[in-house]
Amino acid sequence: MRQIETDVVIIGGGATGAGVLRDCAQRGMRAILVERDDIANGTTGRNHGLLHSGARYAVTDPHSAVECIQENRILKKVASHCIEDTGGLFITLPEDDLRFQQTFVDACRTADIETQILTPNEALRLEPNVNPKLLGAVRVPDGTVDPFRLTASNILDAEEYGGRLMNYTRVTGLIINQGRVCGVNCVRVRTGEKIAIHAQQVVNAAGIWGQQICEYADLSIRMFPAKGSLLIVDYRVNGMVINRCRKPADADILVPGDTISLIGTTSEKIPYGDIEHIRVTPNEVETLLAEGEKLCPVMTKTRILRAYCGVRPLVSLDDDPSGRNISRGIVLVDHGDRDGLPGLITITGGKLMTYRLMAEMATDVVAKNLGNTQPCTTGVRPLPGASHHDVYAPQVSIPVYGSARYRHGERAARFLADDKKQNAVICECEMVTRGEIEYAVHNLNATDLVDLRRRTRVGMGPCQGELCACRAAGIVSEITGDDNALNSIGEFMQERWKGIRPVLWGDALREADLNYWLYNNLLGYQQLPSTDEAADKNIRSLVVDITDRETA
Amino acid sequence: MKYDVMVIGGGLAGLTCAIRCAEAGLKSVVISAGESALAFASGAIDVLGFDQDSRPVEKPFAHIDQLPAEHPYRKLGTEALHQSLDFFRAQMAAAGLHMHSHKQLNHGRLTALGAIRPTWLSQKGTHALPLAAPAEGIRRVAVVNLAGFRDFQPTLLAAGLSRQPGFADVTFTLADIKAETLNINTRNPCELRAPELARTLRRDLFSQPNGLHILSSALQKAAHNADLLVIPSVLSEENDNDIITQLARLTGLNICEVATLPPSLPGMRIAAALKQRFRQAGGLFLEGDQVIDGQFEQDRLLSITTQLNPDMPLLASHFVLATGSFFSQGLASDHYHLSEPALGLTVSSTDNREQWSGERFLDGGQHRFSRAGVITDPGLNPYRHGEKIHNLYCAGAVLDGFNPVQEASAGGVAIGTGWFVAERIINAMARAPERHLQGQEVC
Repeated sequence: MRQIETDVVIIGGGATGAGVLRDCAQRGMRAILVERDDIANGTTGRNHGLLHSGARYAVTDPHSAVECIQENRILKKVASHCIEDTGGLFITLPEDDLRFQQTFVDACRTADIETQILTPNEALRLEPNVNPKLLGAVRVPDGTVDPFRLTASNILDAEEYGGRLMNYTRVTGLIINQGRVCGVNCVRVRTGEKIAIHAQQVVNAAGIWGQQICEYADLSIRMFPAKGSLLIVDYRVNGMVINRCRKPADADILVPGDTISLIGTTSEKIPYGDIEHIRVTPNEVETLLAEGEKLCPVMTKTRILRAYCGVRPLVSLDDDPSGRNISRGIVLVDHGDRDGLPGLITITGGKLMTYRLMAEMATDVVAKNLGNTQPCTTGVRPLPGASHHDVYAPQVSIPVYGSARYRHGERAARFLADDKKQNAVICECEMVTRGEIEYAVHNLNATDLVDLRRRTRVGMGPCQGELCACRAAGIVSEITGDDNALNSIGEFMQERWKGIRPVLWGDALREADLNYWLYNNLLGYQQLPSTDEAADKNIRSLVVDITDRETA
Repeated sequence: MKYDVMVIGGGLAGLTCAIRCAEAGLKSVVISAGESALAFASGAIDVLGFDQDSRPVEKPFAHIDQLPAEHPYRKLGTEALHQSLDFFRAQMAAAGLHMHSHKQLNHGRLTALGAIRPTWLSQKGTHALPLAAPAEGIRRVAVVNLAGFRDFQPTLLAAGLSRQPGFADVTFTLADIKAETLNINTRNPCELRAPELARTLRRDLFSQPNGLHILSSALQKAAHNADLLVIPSVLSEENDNDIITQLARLTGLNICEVATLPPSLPGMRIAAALKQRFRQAGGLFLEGDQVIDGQFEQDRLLSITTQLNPDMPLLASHFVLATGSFFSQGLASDHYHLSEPALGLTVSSTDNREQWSGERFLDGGQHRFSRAGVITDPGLNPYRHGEKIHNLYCAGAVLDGFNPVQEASAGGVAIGTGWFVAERIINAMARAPERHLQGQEVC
């Protein structure tokens, strides 16, 4: 078995784990992050991407509200390329009690969240698609954050400080020696290779899956999974985040993001055993559509692109069956203090919004345990992409430049080359070029098509990967030279299908009919024998260029 | 103006039907919404590639009797299917597009991902692989792309083909012939689609006296004496695809053109050949308009109205609905129902949306949406509000009762049903000459 030696092992490649890796690396600790799938594949990538101002929690959870507004201000500085400072509206509809508005504004003031009360006409001028029947609105500094980009940037920064990501690596057990956790046993998911990583500190940042990590050491942390479902609308119907000005309830947030809008979120407590098999039900789709229409009536006429759901990692503090009133606060446990098992720290609860704070809190404990006295700098140093340097790229069109800059900040300069082949658009919905795909494979740990989607938005537009899935898989296979890219086309289509199937009517069905025809008839994907049936490949050379001189 | 036959839909089914009617002397018109599904097709004609349990079929015609009773093939029968395909093949040949089959047997069509799909009729320039032993006689394969064309991926094709039986020991050589070598002078050759690349090659390369030689020597160099040279189908929009014949002669290589990501040239060639034949037969092709409603009187359709001329009903003695499936918008859906949007015909359906599809996207046997369509009687007449419409017929993918993808049967069903309803209309018109005459007098 391969043995690796390091200072800190972090389990879980969500935003929190990536944040801990970055923080450890910035403080000069040697750190490795292990993730069983790809980064941001769990709860991090399955929420509404709302950059909370804290206003949503101001009345019901003032402590969280304060954390949110502080992190909101920090992230706008250090992660500007992952964020859109859209502003948010809390609207009061005829069925809501307008008196709540004052309670809400007072609570926001207490939490130091700026508010501005608007008349219905002022709100409509800012946000023409908002329900014109609104009685009032309050403007707050909400925004949007791209969780995939945020996580990938944290990893990229961590790697530049010497940290290391091992994705597609599953933790199979904790190494416990003389009453101390001193590492993890893992297996590489794709090759089956077993690895032991020895470390002085292990950080459990596996979110809802963290309960299983604790069970490896017979420790108990009780998670109460709450499923949240969301719908993605085909185009951006709103410019600002729109909330209902009332106590948080189902489906009352409409968040714009990139080229789309999304409506969320439902909340349903589910048994822990079901967390791997969650799906969006027809009833949830109906609820989300009905509530979304109240925020923006235009939603009824808009195509629903897909539906998805995630699991909130709630740690129970009382016995609420809906899961909504369980604290969403940050839970940090040093198992040395609590359970007499030093070397293991669990960081959980919280939200995407507070990922950096959670990482700082966990890394503070790690640093203390290792005698490291370096201060945390994650709140002041900009992430790669957020430094506002200009990108000079005269050879590409404005949409290509804009999309690349939007997604990668100044790092777009790394792939906006003076080269036609590199600048060829591969995904036309999202304006992803060959160069961006190659950059994501070489620099952002993307190993296949499904990973690529999270780094570049390839296949996330209206066509859901009709042509670009093949084009991008071809580029990945040119780089990796293995079969995985071909296999990942099927995985990618299936992953897209999971989101499309709950909303399979109208244009979504039309698109599915076409994709089914293209991939199974024109391309015959289903007729490909699976890899294990085949023997070793004998593909002699990769793509070579035949130059003028050679043919002359 | 009253037509004998009005065909709604200008794809494979609609045009096969319309050509047959026009050649029989009927006054025929086709209303087409635009580019048909043929631009997304391989350009080969599948008859029946798989049985109902998804096992490959070697003898498609011998298998027709074993299909379920509601299958369109059962309604027209094996004999009519044969006749329709002979008719189609002759039409294509007359337009310069020569297609070949292995008598009554299916052969393998190589796809751009290296899969092998059973098909029956292939275009010149494709290499028919024997289904039982596809690697027979092949030791070395070269996969060569042109000018960094983004809609063809040699690495994926090689990875897929190397998994096929007998190909494990085959050597693959991959190459890309540079745009400069091909004399291509355009903004970004890597962003061209197949038809654009074909036009660019004609303009920049084949217009030169030595153009074909430049390409053939580059291919020879790239192919390294391969037994099979696979290239994307991007060389010619022409029906006869003469370039591929000349290249095979110049290089001495066994060349196989593969249909690329859409728009796919081989499919577009069939579309062009069909339109050409229809016009030559005296038919009228109205493009860019969509049928929005029909005016019925009991069991007959009197006229239809279109988006561009909503106030001017178009009259005909017989109507054919060949509007395709969901992606061609011949079928539609809302949250709860599947429907036929143009004329409101009865569609096979369940109101439970969860049953429209299966959980595995690419394992489409469970996709009821793919099998769903307009319900018809044995003569392919549809129903509306419980009434059978006697002068309206359905053909092609709009029909209920078959899964064109899972069975590999789209082409055969389109041609077979299109031809079959044409025969019924021709017979009906022959039986009712006075009506035929009336129609002519009106105009």
